[in-house]
Formats: sequence, C-alpha cells, structure tokens
Amino acid sequence: MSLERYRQDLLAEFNRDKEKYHQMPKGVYTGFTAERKSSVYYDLNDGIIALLGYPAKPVKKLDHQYQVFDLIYIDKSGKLILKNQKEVLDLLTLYRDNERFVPDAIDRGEPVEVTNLVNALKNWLTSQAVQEEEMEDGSVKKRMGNETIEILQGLKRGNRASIGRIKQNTTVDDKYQLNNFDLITWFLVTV
Amino acid sequence: MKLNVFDEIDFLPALKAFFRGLNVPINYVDDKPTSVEKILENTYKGNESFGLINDVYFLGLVDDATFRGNKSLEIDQIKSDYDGILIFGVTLGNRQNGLLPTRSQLAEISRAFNREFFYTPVVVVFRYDKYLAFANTERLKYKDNREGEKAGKVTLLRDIDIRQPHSGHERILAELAIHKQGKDRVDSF
Repeated sequence: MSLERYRQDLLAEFNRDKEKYHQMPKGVYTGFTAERKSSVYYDLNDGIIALLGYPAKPVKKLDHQYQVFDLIYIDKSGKLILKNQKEVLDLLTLYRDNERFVPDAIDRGEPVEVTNLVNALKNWLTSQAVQEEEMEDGSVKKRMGNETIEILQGLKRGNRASIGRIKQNTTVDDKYQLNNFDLITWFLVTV
Repeated sequence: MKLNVFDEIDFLPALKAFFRGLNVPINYVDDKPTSVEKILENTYKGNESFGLINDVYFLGLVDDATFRGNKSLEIDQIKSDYDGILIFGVTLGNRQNGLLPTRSQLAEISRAFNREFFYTPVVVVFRYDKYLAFANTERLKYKDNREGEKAGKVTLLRDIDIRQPHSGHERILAELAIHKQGKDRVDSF
C-alpha cells in the first residue's frame, strides 16, 4: 500500500509555511462537515479522525520517536468507521478544501462533549486489546482484541512488523492504556 | 515438575508458570483466548477433531533473543522463515461418552496450526479434562522451493495427568527444562 501520493501533498503543504507547522503544538484539532459525495461509497458518521503516536512522549525527552502511528476514524462509540489509514487519508484528501467546522460546544471545551470524545477514544483503545462476546447463558466472555488477531494474521504471512510487535514483549492490555498514546492531532467529522 | 498449577489457576497463567519453571523465556502478547475459526482461517475443518476445541490461547514466541535477554534482530534483518517457535494453548472438550481426545485428533489439530503458520514452527499444548498433551510437528522444506515449510510427523506427549502424573511423563517434562548455568547451559532456542 503506497502512501506516496499523500506524502507529496503533505510536503507541498508543509513547504508552504514550515515555520507555522513547526510551532504548532500537539493536540491541535479541526473539523469539517462531510457532505454526501458520489465518490464516497461507505457510510460516514459523526466521529473523530485521530492521529495517535505510541509510546507517548515522556515529559522531558526532547528527541522522542514514536514507534507506531495509528490514524483512525471512529464514531462516537469508538467503533472504526474506516478500516485502514489509506481509506482515512483518501477521505481527508476528498474533503481537504472544506471550511473548518467544529461544533461550538467542542470549541468552548464543554466537559460533557469533551468527555464523550475521550470515551470514544478509550473504547477504541479497549477494542484493540479485548473484545467481548455474549455467551448463550448471558454471561460475557473476554476475547482477544483486534491487535492480537492482526498480529497472528501477520505471522501467517511472515510479516516482519508482527514479529517486531511480539518482540516488544508488551501485552496488549499494558499497551492500550490512554496514557501510553499521544493524541497528535484530531479532526471532528460532522455528517 | 508441579503440574497441579493447571488445576489451581486459569489455563494461560498456568502455562506461563509451567514454561517459567522450565526456564523457557517467552515474549507474551495477550492473555485472552479466541475461537479456533479465527486462528485457523485456512485449515479449519468442521469435523469432530476441531469441534472439540473450546478456546485457543496464544502464549507467545520463543526466539534466541528471549533466551539471551537482549534485543532481538532488527526487523529488516529477519528472514521470512523466522528463527523462533510459536506456542499456543488449546482447551478441548471430551468426546461423546466422556472419552478423551484420540491421538489422531490431537495430531490433526497440531498439524493444522503448523500448516496455518507455515513460516514459523508451532508447539501446541492441549488441556482436556484433567490432562495435558504436548504436540510438536516436524516441518519439512517443500520440494519445489516454495516459501515456508510443510507440516510432517507429529510427536505427542499426551494424557499427562495433572493431579497424578506418571513418573515417565514427569521425567520427560523435567528433561525439557533448560539449564541456565554450568557446562550444559543453553543460550539459544
């Protein structure tokens, strides 16, 4: 999966005003209204597009490098709307000329609205570590989450990234904690 | 070799304790199980053998680096046929009339795991009723230079009684323990 097309777009934008982007703090956000377009074949929902970096940058470390970036588009319940980062980049490219739109309540930082977004991210993180399955007797059984399943599928293909992930010797439950990720930037999508 | 830990705590923590007791270092990822259909996507068959499987646990990976306790090879230095072993734990139900799984059923499941993960050897540890079984599958190169390896003969140590293990079983398991010191010290998988 080549991301070169997006890389070129990013570089062009970055070169236009390097200084502005260098000074931008982490966690900056924006948003847009995703009106229906004929080229969008999937169902869009209100949600967040988030760029997460792992592991989170320690407070005093200046030369921190993230091992993994996750670019996700999730709905308010934390469920993935698009399945991979290429689809998310396609979506962003499609709507990149739209005017900024973020609901006032979010811009004002109203706790209830912000908490909803935090919960959506928490739910996504949890789903990476654990899935819940309702059994016939009504009890709930915890099952492997998405990340372990993806690692195992990668091992079947001899995928080096999967082997690299196992070698970190970090369990998914330890990894997918809110504090272990930096929210580098996020977009609020309103449909 | 104390196997009663399998009676006292859940299967995966017990497996971890067991391999710790053998001095086998493992990279862990997840403690939770999944279904056999999700793991054996290509080799699952809807027959009695696979119908016995309740849960599948991924215990982890053993490689040289875990032995030495240092950093593994850089990812781009790893060749596709990777030098490591995957360990899975599988819990099984009994056959009809309370009969234990047969040798061929255990072998069929073990071979399916090795066919599914054809880049990396897989050891399967089974738990059924009050017994354990260990399955190791021989892997051979394809004659036509295809990538990966094919699954061959399965070596099984089965019906190991958790509460009252046979002394022969105990001896075999004790021999699996890795010496960390002295002239017989092992520092690679």
